Amino acid sequence: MHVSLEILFGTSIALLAIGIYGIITRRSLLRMIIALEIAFNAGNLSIMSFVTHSRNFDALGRSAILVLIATEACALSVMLAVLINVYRVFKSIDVSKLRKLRW
Amino acid sequence: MIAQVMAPILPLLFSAFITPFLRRIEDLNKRVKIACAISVASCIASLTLTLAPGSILWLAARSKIVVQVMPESQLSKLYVDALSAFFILLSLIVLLVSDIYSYKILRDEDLPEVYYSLLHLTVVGLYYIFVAGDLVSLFVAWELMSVSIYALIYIRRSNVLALEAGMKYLMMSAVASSLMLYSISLLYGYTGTFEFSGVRRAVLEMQDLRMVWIAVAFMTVAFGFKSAIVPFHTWAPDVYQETLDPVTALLSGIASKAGIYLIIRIYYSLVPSPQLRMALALLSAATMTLGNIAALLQSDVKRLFSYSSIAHMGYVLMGLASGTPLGIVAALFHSLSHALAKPLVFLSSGCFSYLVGSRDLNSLRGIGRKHELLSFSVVVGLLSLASIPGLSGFISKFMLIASAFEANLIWLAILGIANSAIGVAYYIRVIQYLFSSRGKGVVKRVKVPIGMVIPNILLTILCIVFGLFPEPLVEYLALVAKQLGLAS
Repeated sequence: MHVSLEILFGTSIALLAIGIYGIITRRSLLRMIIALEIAFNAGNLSIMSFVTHSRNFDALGRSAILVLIATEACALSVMLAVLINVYRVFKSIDVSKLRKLRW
Repeated sequence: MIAQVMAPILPLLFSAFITPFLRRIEDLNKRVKIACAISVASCIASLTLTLAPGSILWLAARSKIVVQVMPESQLSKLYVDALSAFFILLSLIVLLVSDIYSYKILRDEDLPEVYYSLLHLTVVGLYYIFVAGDLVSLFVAWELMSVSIYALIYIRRSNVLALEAGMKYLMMSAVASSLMLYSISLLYGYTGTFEFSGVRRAVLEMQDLRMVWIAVAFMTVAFGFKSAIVPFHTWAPDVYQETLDPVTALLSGIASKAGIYLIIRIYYSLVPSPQLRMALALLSAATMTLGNIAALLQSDVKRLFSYSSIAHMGYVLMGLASGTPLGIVAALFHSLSHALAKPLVFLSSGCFSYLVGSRDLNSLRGIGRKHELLSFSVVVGLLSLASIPGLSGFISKFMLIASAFEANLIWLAILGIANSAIGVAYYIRVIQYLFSSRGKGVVKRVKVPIGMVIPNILLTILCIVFGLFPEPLVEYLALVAKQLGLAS
């Protein structure tokens, strides 16, 4: 099936917007991390949509996506470790309760 | 060629992988001593491999080096010019200083052994950022640096404030990374390649540059997060305040310069577009004004210096906004004098806090009268930041303001001069507190360990040397501007 570049590209922009919106509005750290993953994958989808419309499926772009996904997985694992640590110390993952530092 | 480019990184990688295994040694004293010795030795080895005749610094000064790691592939290219070599040297100096200083802290606080390897991996990430030749390698290096910094901020797991500051940093930095990834995808989509020279060629041929400018805007936001430029600076004071002193020195000294380096790369060599420089001028104005005014209101020493660090990023952007060769030279020189003076004041005020057991300005009253060497170094650092003639901060800021006048950004130059005046007010206030005669005399410890004094002496000497003999450095930086394609 052939999907036009506009639809794929529009989806990736929408994913980025959803991700950023989620990070700004959510209070739970876990939801923020999920929103972050959505924002990350917007970039991957965008690269993939450009790959599908390039000459003979540009191998460079495809291999780059694999590298990028692995890199994001590393960052994600550290974030989840932080999440567990925050839960152990604060007994909550509600971000709005962490407000000791001001000015 | 690849040997010279990759040689400085090998000692750092070696020490980063070896230090975690030291946990097998039971005795804490011995373990920390060995870890520190290995780290400092590897750092000195890297510095030698960067500075020795015929090494990367001299090769890059002669001509740009482009190395292909995998033949027949556009990915994993290394791209080194004088600009990269300058930043590599800077990061190794700051790493050496933080390594030496960390010894005492590690022994007192019983931190996990990975501390040293994280410190070194941060600089490995920075090194790869400075030599990366394509956007994917750049992103991987960026994440390596970011992940190491997340872990470094969290290393004191029981400290509630550090946890909160670290979480703030993690969220903002991850948003920045996702924006950067998206802009990389845009650049790839519209130029068809990830490689720097290919992107540059495609952009120069392109008629409609709007999508590329959107990508550049996203990138500017991402780099602004890392360099703590004003609308994106909110993490900086919290993180700088709550992390350990050597980590703060590394973050404000060199990790924030990674953003500056990439802004130069993007604005001057990847997407040469003078139209976008006005945005840098606006960011610069906001950054220095807000940083300086907020610094006036602080009573915590480290927080005061964090806001001053933000203000200095604004000064550096002033040089980049002007876009003249003088502006680039001035911005790079100011990066250097900030990277020397800011770790100096962070570390030496850390020594004073170690003595009195508090970071509040009021409790530091009069402490400078008892420790001549330390107070001399902190005064040199503060005066260099306040740009007093004779120290490196003066020459760089003078050139910055001259470059703003040269580029007809007269409002920006006048704002910079006004901000310098505000800056002097709070730097002098710190000196006044340190030498006040009405000291409380409450002292927790009497002596500062020698390991905490050596880094301060090193940085003081460098501050004075670059202040008195700036000519060789200015010549080298003029070469950088020439390689970036700016006529001088």
